[in-house]
Amino acid sequence: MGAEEKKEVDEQREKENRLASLYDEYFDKIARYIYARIGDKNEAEDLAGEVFLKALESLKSYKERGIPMQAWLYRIAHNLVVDHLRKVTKLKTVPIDTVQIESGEDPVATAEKHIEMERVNEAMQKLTPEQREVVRLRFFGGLSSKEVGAMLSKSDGAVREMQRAAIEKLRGLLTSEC
Amino acid sequence: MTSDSEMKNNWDKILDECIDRINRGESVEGCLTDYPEYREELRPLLSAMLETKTAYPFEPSARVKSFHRQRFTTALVASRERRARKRPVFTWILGWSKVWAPVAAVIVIAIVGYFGLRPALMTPVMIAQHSPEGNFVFLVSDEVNAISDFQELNLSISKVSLHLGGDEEKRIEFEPGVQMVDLSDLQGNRAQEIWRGDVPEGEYIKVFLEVSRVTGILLESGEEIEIKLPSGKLQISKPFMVESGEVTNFVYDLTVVKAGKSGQYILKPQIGQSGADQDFIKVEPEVQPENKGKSKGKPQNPGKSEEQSEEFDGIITAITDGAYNASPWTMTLEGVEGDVTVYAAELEGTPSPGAKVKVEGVLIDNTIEGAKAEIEGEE
Repeated sequence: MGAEEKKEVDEQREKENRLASLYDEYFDKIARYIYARIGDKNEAEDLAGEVFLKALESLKSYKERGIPMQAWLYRIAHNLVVDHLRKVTKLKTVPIDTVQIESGEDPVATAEKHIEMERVNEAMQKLTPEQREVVRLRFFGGLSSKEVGAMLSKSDGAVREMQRAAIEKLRGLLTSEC
Repeated sequence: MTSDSEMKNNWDKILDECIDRINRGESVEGCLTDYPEYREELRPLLSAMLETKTAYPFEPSARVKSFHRQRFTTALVASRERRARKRPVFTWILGWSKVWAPVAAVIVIAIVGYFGLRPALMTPVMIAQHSPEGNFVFLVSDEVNAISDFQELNLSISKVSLHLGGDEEKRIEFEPGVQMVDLSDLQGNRAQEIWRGDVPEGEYIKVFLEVSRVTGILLESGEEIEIKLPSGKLQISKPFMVESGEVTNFVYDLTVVKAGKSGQYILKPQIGQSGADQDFIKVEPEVQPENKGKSKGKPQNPGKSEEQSEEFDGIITAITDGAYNASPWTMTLEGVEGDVTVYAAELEGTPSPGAKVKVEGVLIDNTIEGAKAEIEGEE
């Protein structure tokens, strides 16, 4: 019991150290992934911070042999985004007039940026939910196909296939809208 | 012969590799150059990928990231403290197994019986947090004995432990904000504050001062000598109370005496002049009462001693106390031989090995304490 308990404490400490070491690399990526889903920069930063606090709280339940820790963080991020979207359903898509305008930016360039964002967002909505999640995790979250597969319980081959199909569809949609 | 599915799989892998490379910051062209045979098919797909990716430009703010990191670190430390409180070392010793527990207990009892009970090992520990408005002020002073033999006498204090008595015996620890003091400036009832923060209310029964080094410069010869310590931990058993709504000022008095036979100097605690009931004149770190033409103990707040503070640029070589801690870290500094240890009192950005950093503070013996540090980015 004592030795086992000590092992548990050591493992917990090891997991905490790993989580802390992921902070610098993954905070920005998780914030971008969240931003691509909710379209609010301030909220995305705050939720990214929440991801690490939630992870710390639930660290005891995290098993090394399951999914990689970074993929687990995105699972937490996904759940927080779902909760957030439930609260503010109107932000499910990113309408042009709700996107933040940064101070000091050229208003014409800002408007063009928002039009482009809206265009891509509309194309994204035409993907299947799984394709959309693969695109978000790969392009904005920066996860590898293997990590995405671990998170979505798919093989990395299946993820690559979904990714290719998603990009082909996006390409068609974005080109036809030009 | 290659089947259709194998070809498709291969194509998916190439596309996947290119996406990884673009995610890492490489250009689309770089990937196309490496796969000239797929150039025509790859280009439109990678362009679509890039268009999607760049449609959501977002660089999280370093300030907000640092704020959330601070929250995370605080939560991490709190979680570890909770665990430490739940599980004192004693429970491990007795908890190895049912078989070993009685054996361990006998050994522990025998050791305790022989050497006396060591409360430091048995008591739960709590780390006290520094706060400028805290309810407890810890000061150091010097009772006049052989101190007049010294031009300066520098004491490095690494830790202070307060033992809370009563039913819930507990050890409260803190690292002083000012870790080096010159006792020659603190003679008589002059005392220097080295820490202020919050400690639990209650009756305290013992105070331990962990001293890492004491050196003195003799007035007559100018020779620098090492002062002997009876122990690395100097203990005073003088009960005092920390009460609600009051600030307790505890003066820890030390004195240096010359041993008769050997002529060696020894530093020891002076119980009669120590305690929470002592009158004292508070000496601020920047105040130099007598101009002896020497530098005072390391000022912890560089803002309080602008004349000694310098600005340094360097690169962090290692975070010395775990990846999640803000300081201390070691770094290289232009014009300084060997690595320098930095303890940051004010920090902007997140330190990590390889990061460029601007440090403002006083460099003494390859250490900068109480530094203002600004992390500028990865080298």
